Amino acid sequence: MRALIIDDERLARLELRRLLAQHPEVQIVGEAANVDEALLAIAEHQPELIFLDIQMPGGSGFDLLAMLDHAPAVIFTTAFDTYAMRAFEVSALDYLLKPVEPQRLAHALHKHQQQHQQQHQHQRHAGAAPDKPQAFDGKVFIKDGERCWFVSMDQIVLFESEGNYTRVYFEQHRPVLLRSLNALEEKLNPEHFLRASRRQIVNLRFLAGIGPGPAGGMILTLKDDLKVSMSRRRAALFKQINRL
Amino acid sequence: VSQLAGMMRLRLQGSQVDTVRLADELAAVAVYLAMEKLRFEERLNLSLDIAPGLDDVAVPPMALQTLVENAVKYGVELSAGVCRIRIAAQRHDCQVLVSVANEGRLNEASASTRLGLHNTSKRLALLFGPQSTCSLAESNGWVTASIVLPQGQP
Repeated sequence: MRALIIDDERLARLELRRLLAQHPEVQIVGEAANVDEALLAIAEHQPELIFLDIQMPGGSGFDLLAMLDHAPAVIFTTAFDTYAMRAFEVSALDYLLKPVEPQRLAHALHKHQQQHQQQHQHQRHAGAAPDKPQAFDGKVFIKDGERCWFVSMDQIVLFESEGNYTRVYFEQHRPVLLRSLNALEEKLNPEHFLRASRRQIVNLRFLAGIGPGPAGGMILTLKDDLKVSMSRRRAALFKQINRL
Repeated sequence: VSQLAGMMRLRLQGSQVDTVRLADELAAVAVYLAMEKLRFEERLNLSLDIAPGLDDVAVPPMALQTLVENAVKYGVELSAGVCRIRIAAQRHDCQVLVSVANEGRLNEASASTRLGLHNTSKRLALLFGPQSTCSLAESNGWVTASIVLPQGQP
């Protein structure tokens, strides 16, 4: 497993390296001391897992994640208990309190490996091409004001354009992602996501019903009774592709 | 660990008294900064400018420590590069001015409650009267916390 250590304190990185020596399955491919270095290191090494300090000068670990199109698996490291707890109201995330205890590290790594294996099995069952697993299984980190979420793309029901940003709908949440709908569309797997209109992309996994719409278009009904209308042109294309 | 033990011992002794000698307070601060230096390494750059003859000036225990901790927390911790900290003490006529400065900016929007600064002001006023103050100011990329200690007759 290729891992990257991101922490502004050299001694903290050294300590984590020392602890990870007990886990030969973890290969440390690099280190970074701030957000800028981390962006470069992630692009260069494509780690599967990052150990990420939350509080860093010049930008937090959350800021870093919000800049990534596809976030690798993350184990947060923080000196402040309440900080991590408060920021994450939704996803149960792994975080290690500094100083890191060896047992807690082992537990977090074990949990991560189980999730990793499950994802692989899921992909095999789904028959996904192995060269583009990210398109469906990737997670995206969303920071909207003070709140943060770590959500799998496949959990997002609907993407809706709001100017240069995109509102995403999942569970009961509606945060705004700092990317345009067009930029997102390029990253999404077209087998699972459908551009229903100029303003919307729907996740076909949550499609509950299809009905006729005005002017020869269609109305897609999604989970939680979200309704999206498709133009006649897009509806025709959709029918053609799916041989409806 | 022995540094930490030494610092705790000094502080526990200090908690029994109203004031300590400036020299003792500075010694305790030096131990604290040595530990932060282990953590921040070259990012923490300390300089001292203590005028001679001030060793016996009375200060509230932990007063200087509070200001130095702030300089580390809001200066060094938030700085990706080198951050200088300057501790100075001078006598001006009938008062002694002790200051702790760090490179950086005052952040009005920070989560700070200013409690440490507020408490330090109150302790100074209770011990030495209203002439004794504690203030914070920013200029030219430095944030400086200053304590004024009236001395009666020099």
